[in-house]
Amino acid sequence: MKKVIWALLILLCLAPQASAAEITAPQIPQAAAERMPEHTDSFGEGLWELVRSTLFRLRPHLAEGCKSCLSVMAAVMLASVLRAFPGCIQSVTNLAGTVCIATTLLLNTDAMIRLGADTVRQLSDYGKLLYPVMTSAMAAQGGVTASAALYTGTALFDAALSSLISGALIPMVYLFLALSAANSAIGEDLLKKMRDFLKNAISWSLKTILTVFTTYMSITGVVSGSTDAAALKVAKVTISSVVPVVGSILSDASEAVLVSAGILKGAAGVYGILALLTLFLEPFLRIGIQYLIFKATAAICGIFGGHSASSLIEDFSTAMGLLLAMTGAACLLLLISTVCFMKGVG
Amino acid sequence: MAFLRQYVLSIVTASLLCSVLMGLTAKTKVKELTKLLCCVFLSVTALKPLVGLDLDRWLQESIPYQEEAQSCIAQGEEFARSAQADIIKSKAEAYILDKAAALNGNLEVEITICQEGTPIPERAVLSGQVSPYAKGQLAEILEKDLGIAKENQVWIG
Repeated sequence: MKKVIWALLILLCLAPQASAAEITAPQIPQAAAERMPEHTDSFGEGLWELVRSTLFRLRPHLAEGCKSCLSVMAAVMLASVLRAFPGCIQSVTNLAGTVCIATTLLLNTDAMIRLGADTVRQLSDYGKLLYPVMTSAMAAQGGVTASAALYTGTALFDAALSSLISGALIPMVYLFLALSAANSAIGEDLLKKMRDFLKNAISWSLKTILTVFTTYMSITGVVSGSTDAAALKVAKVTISSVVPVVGSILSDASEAVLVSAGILKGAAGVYGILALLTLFLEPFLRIGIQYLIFKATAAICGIFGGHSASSLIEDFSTAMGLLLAMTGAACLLLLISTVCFMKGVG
Repeated sequence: MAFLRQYVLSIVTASLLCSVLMGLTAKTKVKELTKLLCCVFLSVTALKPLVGLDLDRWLQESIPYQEEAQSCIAQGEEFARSAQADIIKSKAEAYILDKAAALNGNLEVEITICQEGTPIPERAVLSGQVSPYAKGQLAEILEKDLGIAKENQVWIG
């Protein structure tokens, strides 16, 4: 009994001190620190606090988005009135209407695209700090093979996805909008196929990367997880069969380190998930609101405006949808990876 | 962003040019030809930047990740080994003190843990008051139970 009490006291004194210095989740960037929930030890409480504060901060953005859409509605109505006049040149009215709508919507859309691109970059940068910590914690817990595979896979897919988004998909969204505006200005659906191709290419790229990534994670988790579990079992048997007393001490110490590394990994993982959600949630909801506002504007303009005006606004909402998919995919990739790291060995 | 601005500007200019050209052309066979030419022109303008995508650079960037993973794993293993060594040192010292107390000895113990491989006790420095019989008994315990060879046991005092 005395020995057990000694052992517990030593464990309590040593494990946290040794660990805290080395296995802790990286701090969230200063710019987003004020949005980070205070309760980072409990995932449920932290998430609830984050959602509540994010929803509260969204109100001004909602009003701002509505204002620009009222301007668009006014422009569409004006174009419809002009079109009703006899002797009006349809193509000129159409072109003027398109330029007016595109210019008004592009201001908000450009800001949202920049926000989306920044969010993907911030998520990726935070991931680059978080995953070495999670890898070390998992290796300390005995998951050497699994942590190597998880780190390599996450880093590779994250780099591929963020480069793809910033280097190709974001320019493709701009191109999609340019094609939509051009298509609406020409008024003969000449560029419809190309515009649709771009939209499909963006969503197909994101779906493919996420599918390949989740498949890789599933296979890696099963294969390397069982390898590590078997290696741990063999190590335990070998350790306890060394010199009798020292073997038992070694086995106990090994067990204690595995447990404390698991606790630290769990805490770092929860903090990491909350930090990722803090970086992600507000921009995602802002883009989401813009998406819904554009959809509603397109529906209203469809009543009194022409087909091309309504279709152009619909295309702007599609661009927002594509942006939502990009930021969502970037965050999902990192969340899946963090959960895989947290799941541990076996 | 300068590239993007240039790209969007070229698309918008090309489409406006096409729109004006098609507006000016009368509804004859020339209009069909203009439409076709406009389509080709717009396609080339739109797809031109995609040709310049550098896929090789992405593949080159993926190579160091394995090395980074190994470095993180080494840190994790070192962390685990160091924590294990601390626990083993404390528990082994507590074990010796317990045995010494049972033999009416009053000792101070300093255990050194093996720096490479499995963290097992390697050397012991014992100081304090202990009878020759207890010293012999403790030396046996250190060798048999903790695996510290007699030549690695240093007795002071």
